[in-house]
Amino acid sequence: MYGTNERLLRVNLSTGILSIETISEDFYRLYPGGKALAGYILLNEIPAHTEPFSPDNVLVIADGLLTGAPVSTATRYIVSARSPLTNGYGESEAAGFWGPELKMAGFEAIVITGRAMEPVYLWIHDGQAEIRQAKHLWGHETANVQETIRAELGDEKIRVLQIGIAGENLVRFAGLTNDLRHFNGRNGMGAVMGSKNLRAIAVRGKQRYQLLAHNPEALMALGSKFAKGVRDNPSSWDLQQRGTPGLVEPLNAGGMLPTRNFRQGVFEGVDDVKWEAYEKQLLSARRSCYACAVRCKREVAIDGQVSKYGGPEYETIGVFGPNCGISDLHAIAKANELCNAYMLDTISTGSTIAFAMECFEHGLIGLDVTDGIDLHFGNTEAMLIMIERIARRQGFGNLLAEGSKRAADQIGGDAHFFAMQVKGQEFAMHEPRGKYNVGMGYAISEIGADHLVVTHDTTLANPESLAFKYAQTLGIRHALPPRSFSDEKMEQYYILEQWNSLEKVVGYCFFGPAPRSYIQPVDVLATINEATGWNITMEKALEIGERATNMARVFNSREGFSRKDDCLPERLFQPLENGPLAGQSMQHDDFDRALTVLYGLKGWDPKTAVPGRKKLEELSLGWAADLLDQSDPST
Amino acid sequence: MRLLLGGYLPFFASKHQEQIEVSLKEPARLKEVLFKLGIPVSDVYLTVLNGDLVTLDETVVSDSDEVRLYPPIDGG
Repeated sequence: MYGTNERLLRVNLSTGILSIETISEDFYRLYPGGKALAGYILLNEIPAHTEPFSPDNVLVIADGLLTGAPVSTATRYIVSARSPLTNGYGESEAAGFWGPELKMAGFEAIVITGRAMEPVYLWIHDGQAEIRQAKHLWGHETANVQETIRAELGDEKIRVLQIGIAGENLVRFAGLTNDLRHFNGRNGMGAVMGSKNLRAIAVRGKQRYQLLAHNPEALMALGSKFAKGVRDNPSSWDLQQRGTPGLVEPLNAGGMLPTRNFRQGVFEGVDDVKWEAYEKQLLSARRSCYACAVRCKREVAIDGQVSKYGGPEYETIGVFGPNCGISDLHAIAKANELCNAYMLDTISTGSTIAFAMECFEHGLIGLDVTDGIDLHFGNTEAMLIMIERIARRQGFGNLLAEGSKRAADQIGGDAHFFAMQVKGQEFAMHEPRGKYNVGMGYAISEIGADHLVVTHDTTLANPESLAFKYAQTLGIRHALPPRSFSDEKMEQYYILEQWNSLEKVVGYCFFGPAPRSYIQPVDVLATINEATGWNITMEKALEIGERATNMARVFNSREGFSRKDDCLPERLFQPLENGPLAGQSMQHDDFDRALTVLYGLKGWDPKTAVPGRKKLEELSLGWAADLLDQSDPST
Repeated sequence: MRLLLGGYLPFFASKHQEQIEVSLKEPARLKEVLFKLGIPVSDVYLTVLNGDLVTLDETVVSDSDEVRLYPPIDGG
């Protein structure tokens, strides 16, 4: 099949057996990589109710259909397994260079089962794969591990995907990093990999993508068009100029910069953490991912030393800065460095620390519980110490390493009110009281609170904007207010969720395709068709996205998730304390009604949130309906 | 009048500058000022006049005013 290697690597770490499986074009038309491929394997190969840290959990690492194509922002791969943070379907995407390297090494995906007796790593190169011992890597920081692997394999160009100390210690929000600068942060996929005693996957491939593509010349032409187009789109131009740190000040101005655990939307110290301060105090260079014209990555220097781990993104600035009441940019950069050296998800780490700070300020925990650490908001030193202790599961850090939901269970009292999470996963740094569809995404997403499920409301609020014009080609009809749960807003949600899901299937970054960014939907389809020789329509493309979402939903339904799990923390139904949105809150009735409308659009049962057989069969997922019929969610 | 362009709005300024000094002999509608500067009002999501959030359509500005403008901001 054009555009792929048609090969999947299977690794059984219990037996040490490696095998290669062929992927057919018929299969790929339904499950064309990334989220779709991973969802299919998880649903078919993980027995219901498998413990996330059991050897029977299956870890899938899959390139998107287009990952490695010479077009801007098509760089992503997914890491997927049953999540130890949510106990549901787990996934986390990252960009960088590792995904394209896997494709050049001759594989579309790796499926990892079992558990190695001792620490190991995988070495994959030019169609070959082997398991190597990694006892000497265990317990070391990620930079040391990458350097050691490259040295012992004798190639500085090897791309290393790895977990860190946090994954080894089964911290429930441990992630993975590739090249030390790109991160599969969310859902605790690093802990699953750690439970398998797998420290790293080193990859090197010398194949050329052009040899795989149906029409390499047409793809190259699209790549050239995208490289030029980035400078013509204001939003992409801004990402190129400032990267995601440029979001801090505008979100603060709109009253949507999460501050002190989402109590407030405006941070009084914003001038110390916004882009201008970042540029002056930290910036050392601008960087890119594979073939990407946006170039949103930033490098920083801390105390005169260029960090090996890249610069903090918006989410990291937001969560360790305003959300912890901290305005020390150097401390935020240090927090970013620590998380990446130990490989913790910065969002869940910072959010769980903010949760602990609020519990401390309300007297739910005292110095006797925190090992003498004063966890008031704004205590920079406490924040940095807690990162260390979470990664190493030391003292109070051992409780926070379980995530805010489980920690709240242990602390008791009103602690649950301060845990800003859904299904166990902590909020990203976007305020739902200003963007209702973002809130709906937090609630309904199969992976727990996540900000990349749907295009943010503000992008499509203006009928004259370029973003809205592009969105019309997806079927969006009207510009609608951000703070609304109207029926038409849910129709928009339904379409945009499918589109964002498609991006996770084919490997596009959130910063590539419109309406968030600059690549027109028709050109997204063109890249798929020129790579594969297919001729898919927009309708079929959206169906691919919807199919992937439904497999994730069936996975969760089988585990006993239901409507009660598609919820939001009570804090969102109470007023924001300051800023332009002061006094604004969501209403329970509005949210519940919108959820029912959305389930109806999706063809899901409004009481149980389970996909109906009719919908599943429309999506060629009759087999998934059979799985549901055979399952017992109560066990 | 001092005009401060937030988010991606400097994209539309003649030299991509974040700050523009505008000389106003008499009060003017902000929309007209922006039109002359080539800043599309369709991309302005928030208007802050001398520290207060205001509605762009109704805003009249004078020479001594400071105006901050922000576009819609998505996630990242």
